Amino acid sequence: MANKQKKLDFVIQQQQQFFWCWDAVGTSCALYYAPLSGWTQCQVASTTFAPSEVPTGKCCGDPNNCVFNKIWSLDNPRKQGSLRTTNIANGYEEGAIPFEKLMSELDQGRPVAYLLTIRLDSPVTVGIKVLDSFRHFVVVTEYVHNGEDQMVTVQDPHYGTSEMSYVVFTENYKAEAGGSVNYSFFTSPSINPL
Amino acid sequence: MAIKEIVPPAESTEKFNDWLNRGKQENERSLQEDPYGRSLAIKVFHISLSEIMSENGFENANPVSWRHIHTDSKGPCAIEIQLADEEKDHQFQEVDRGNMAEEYKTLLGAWDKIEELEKEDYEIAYLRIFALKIGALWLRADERKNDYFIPLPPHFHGLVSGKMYRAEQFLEITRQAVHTLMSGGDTNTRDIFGGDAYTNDPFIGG
Repeated sequence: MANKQKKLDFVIQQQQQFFWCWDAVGTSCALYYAPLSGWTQCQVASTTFAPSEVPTGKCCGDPNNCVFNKIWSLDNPRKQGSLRTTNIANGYEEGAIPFEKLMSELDQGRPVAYLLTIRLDSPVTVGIKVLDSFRHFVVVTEYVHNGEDQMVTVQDPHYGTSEMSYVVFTENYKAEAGGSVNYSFFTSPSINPL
Repeated sequence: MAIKEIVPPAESTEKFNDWLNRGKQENERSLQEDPYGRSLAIKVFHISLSEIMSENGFENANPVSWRHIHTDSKGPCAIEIQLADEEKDHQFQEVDRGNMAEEYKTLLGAWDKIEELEKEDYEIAYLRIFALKIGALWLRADERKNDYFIPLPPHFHGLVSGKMYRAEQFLEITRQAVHTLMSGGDTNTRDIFGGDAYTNDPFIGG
């Protein structure tokens, strides 16, 4: 296969709250498609959890006491999540999509988001709660296919930008041996942009 | 105070050079402009949350890779080479273009002026606690209780960029961060009284 590459002009926002990777990814994707839409992370959180409080929302008015700082989704079977809130969801698939499909999406100018699960080396117990794993959302916005190399650029709302092979991304992100991709999320321009 | 000179294993340097050679011309040009050149490499450590919550603290952190600090045409970056294990040799992990490389250089010049650090020699390393979204420079003394940590942005849990934390202080903050992780992620945990290990909503993350 001939060498091929595609890079989207995409800027990932740094997540503003500890649990807002879903929010930063959704907001960044929304602004990629519609820079003038004005979406902010607090607006996305407020619109998602308390639509009646938009546009001010509790998180926009008092970010230090934001009651919506919690884990959430990009999209799900109930059509909930930041990609739904911003009206750019375009379906999802379980697991990591093949590299060729990722190429096709990026060639069409569509970033692909992923939900990663990192399984802990050993469960941690606090009180009566046990945590076995944690999850994190990121976006892939560039690929380089050069001979056997299948490289991607990952935009992470916490770690920023990094480049790695697609295999490393899907199986060993940030050298976490227990890492894997749960879902791949597709995006598309909003039919009715704000 | 002195920073201990650390030499990465030849296998890691070889993988780093392999990466440099992929874009040889631009890398050679940028190396000449980079005062740190290819000589700066630090170890990356991971630590499990259960270790943090135990009496061991950071004692049993595991080295997982080497970060070779570099500057190329796109700017400062860290090329991470994962350590060999029983199943594989050293391998290229990633090029990190986040905040870490730039911040490291900023801090490097200031450390020899800090009085607290005059008593010992330190190895500079990088601690990454993915679950807690914590990344920090780790000044490793001979004994863990004498270590210092300097958090790198972005961060949460009340940590302050560029501030130097004693080991005991930093450990306490990370323990609190574990509580935060588990309290805010109600649907991402299970209780100890039973149930499947992973019965929660598979679509959520944070």
